[in-house]
Amino acid sequence: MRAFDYLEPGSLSEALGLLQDLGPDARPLAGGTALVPEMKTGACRPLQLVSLRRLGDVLAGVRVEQAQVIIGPMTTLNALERDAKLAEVMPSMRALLSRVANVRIRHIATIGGSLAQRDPGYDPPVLLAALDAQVRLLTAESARLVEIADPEATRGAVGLDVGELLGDIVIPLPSATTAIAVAKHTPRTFVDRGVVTVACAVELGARGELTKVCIALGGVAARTLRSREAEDRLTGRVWDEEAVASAAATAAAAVLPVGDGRGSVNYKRAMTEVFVRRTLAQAYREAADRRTEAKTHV
Amino acid sequence: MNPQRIVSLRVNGVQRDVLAPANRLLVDTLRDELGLNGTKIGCGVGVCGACTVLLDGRTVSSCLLLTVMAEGAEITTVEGVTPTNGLHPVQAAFIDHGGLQCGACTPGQILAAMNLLEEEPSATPTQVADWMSGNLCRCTGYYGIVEAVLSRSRTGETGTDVKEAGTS
Repeated sequence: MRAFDYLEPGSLSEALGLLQDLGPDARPLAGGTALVPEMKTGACRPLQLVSLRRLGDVLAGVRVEQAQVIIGPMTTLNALERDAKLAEVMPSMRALLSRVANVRIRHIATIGGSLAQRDPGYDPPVLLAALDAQVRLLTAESARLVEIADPEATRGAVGLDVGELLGDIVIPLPSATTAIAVAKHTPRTFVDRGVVTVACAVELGARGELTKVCIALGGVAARTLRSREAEDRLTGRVWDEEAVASAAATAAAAVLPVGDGRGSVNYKRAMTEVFVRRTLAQAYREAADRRTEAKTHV
Repeated sequence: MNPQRIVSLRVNGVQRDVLAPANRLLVDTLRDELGLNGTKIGCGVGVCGACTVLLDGRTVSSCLLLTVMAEGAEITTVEGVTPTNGLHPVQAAFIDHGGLQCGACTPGQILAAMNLLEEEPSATPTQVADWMSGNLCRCTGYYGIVEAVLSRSRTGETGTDVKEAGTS
């Protein structure tokens, strides 16, 4: 591994100042589970690493509030997986995270890192995209909220520019009639990357119509994305197998997977269709069950 | 550039101040500086688990951590869990259940198993299979490993469930 300077700023403003001053040769370091392997192969050759480890107090932690969940970017995937309150309000988070890499990686890798890497094969951003989550992008001079599944795709699934750091991830709490389902399809064990990762959110209205449908996909395009066209095909309608099949086909037609050892382009596209359909159906069933439950309790 | 710095670690309960350049991996410090060769180097990218150590009680891949990232942390290697005389019960279980052959992955397997049993003293076959799936063994296969870990779990479940969990 090439030599570099290692800096450990003690405050967020110091870290942002350093990254701005040092420019493109510097990289921020959180868990390092992605960055260190890249540095070993030489794919990434920073001259300075700006470690965020002393900023854990300000950048890590989970807060479940009335209308939203706020997650510090330095929160490890394992800490999110263990968080009992988060599991209560957002069980899909634990369901997906328990299927990400192995537990050693989850002990170290951070949720912010999974967004900063902007790797479409990463699972956590897929769920965040389906949840309409936003993340604060910080520089020495500014802070702005960006959508994780930015429809303009300029910051889709985020990444970091020179001088930037991630701040809080803000997730609106799903409504009581919303259910979320996730699926990671891999013919091997879940430790491997998925062929396709799907996260779907379905909200049911008073008459059983789909008032909101979110479909997020990972692993099958250059970026983690939302299938807005497929979502539009279902929103406002009642559940109908044919319409769902057609929406899944729409989602699959729009992806641009790369053929590799995990499957050909055609296979990945076919699996996208299958898993969008299944994941939507699961989310719908759960939302419908919840609705029935709520009615019987009245 | 890359100046040496003194990094304070607590390794197996002993304070160790090591002189390390910023780009030295924790696994290299453990093996080359501290002579703790129980920790192995396998894939080098956090997949195989041969370099597993405990950092503040939790499993990590020491091939992915810079030594400087472990400053102030408590590190446990397989040497630290092995009594002066005899074996740790988890180590003995691996022998009793045929959970090892060449032994290269075993230090990592032992530490992974200990961390699981610490967190889930009544780990089920599925929990064992899920947790241990991050530690690869290329000779024994996994039945013996899963059985060894389960034998130390309070559920004490073995038999057909193990086979099902091990193949999932």
